[in-house]
Amino acid sequence: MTGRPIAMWPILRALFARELRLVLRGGHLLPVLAFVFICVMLMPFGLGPELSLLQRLAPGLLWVIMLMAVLLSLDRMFQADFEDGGLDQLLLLPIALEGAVIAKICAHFVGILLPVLAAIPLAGLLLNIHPDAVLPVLATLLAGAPALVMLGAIGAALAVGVRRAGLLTVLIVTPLYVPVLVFGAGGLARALAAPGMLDVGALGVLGLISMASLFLAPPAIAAALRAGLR
Amino acid sequence: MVNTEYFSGAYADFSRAAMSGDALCLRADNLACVRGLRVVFADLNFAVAAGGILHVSGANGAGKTSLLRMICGLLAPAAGHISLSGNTALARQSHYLGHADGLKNTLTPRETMIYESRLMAAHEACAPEDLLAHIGLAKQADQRVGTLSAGQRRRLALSRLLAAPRPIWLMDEPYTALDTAGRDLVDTLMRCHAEAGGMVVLAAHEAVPLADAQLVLDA
Repeated sequence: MTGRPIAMWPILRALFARELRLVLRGGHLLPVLAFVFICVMLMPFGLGPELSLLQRLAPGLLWVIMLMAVLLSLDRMFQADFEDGGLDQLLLLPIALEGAVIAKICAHFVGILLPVLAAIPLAGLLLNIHPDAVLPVLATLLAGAPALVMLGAIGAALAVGVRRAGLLTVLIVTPLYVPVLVFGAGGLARALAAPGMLDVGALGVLGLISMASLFLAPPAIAAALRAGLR
Repeated sequence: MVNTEYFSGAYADFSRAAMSGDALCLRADNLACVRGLRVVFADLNFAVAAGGILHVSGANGAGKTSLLRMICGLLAPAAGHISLSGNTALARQSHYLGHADGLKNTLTPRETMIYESRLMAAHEACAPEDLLAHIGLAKQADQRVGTLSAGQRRRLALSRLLAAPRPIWLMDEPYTALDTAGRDLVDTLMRCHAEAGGMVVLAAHEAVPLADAQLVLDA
């Protein structure tokens, strides 16, 4: 071969662009957004129409809905590639599988989770949160979302090749989500109690968990995918 | 109709330029494959020199697909090793065309070719439009891959081999779903690749007159 050095960024950009196009054309966003709004609309039927109760429960409810929406969106993240041979081709790319995994997850984040993140504060308004609290809700979710998607992707990668992998992914990932849920819902509750204020401590912890998962998750995901192929 | 002159002209020049250098040799020494508790094959030895075409045949379950996946590193051998002129990391030296084609139904053939050449870091890639025209998919260039016939999908998968020059082509049942012109296309591609200094290992049940060696795996 020519021995010419491989530039990693153009490949990552091309992979990100392809994956984003696949996500947008795949019609995966609409069901997730529908799930978020259906959950929020059903809450008053289950919990009662008392606005103060809904407001008090809103932080936990919004985080659980966010968490479930992420899990719902991750169902086919690697499974489709596994089934159609795309995973084989990813392993033969001239970059490390970890890089390909990061590009795929970034495309998933931009194509599905950013719209969901934008929708959840709006859904919160239906749960009677104060309009001033929209920004803190968004900030808290944004700080924790990378951890949710990275940890979820580990579960999706571990379940690759398993039929009806959705349930297995949920069982693997749910325990990992507990710290994010605790700090996320707690921080959001404190932010909603004082509208316009941010719980910097909770944001910091969520940011740390997200940063740690950004560094630690890709090698784990790549190893799980390699094991799934063998 | 496929324009085969393109592949014996433009592609061969492009591929030869990319693979110029010392003559390559693909070697497998004492290779073994174990699936579960079953030994699929053991003590397998072969060599394919630059310009060689190796036809792997054998009954279903004899390990043809496993062998191809081992060569490109998708499957780890239970014993033995494979090398290309001493280099054992072959993933980035190989194109693998498997049963599952890795094509995405929601992309078009044109988008597929553009992404493939970018993903493979093809500095000297052929123009996607030219490739699609010569592979017989010009009319379908902007049609979703999901709407192509099985044979057209196979042609598109074949054209990915040309997205970037790599010395080893691993082809699993490459004639599947192809008509006579498509089969001629496969033969032309293999011949041009071999003439340009590459090597081909293909698994097929039918006879492959182009092959200069055959490896029969026992089930």
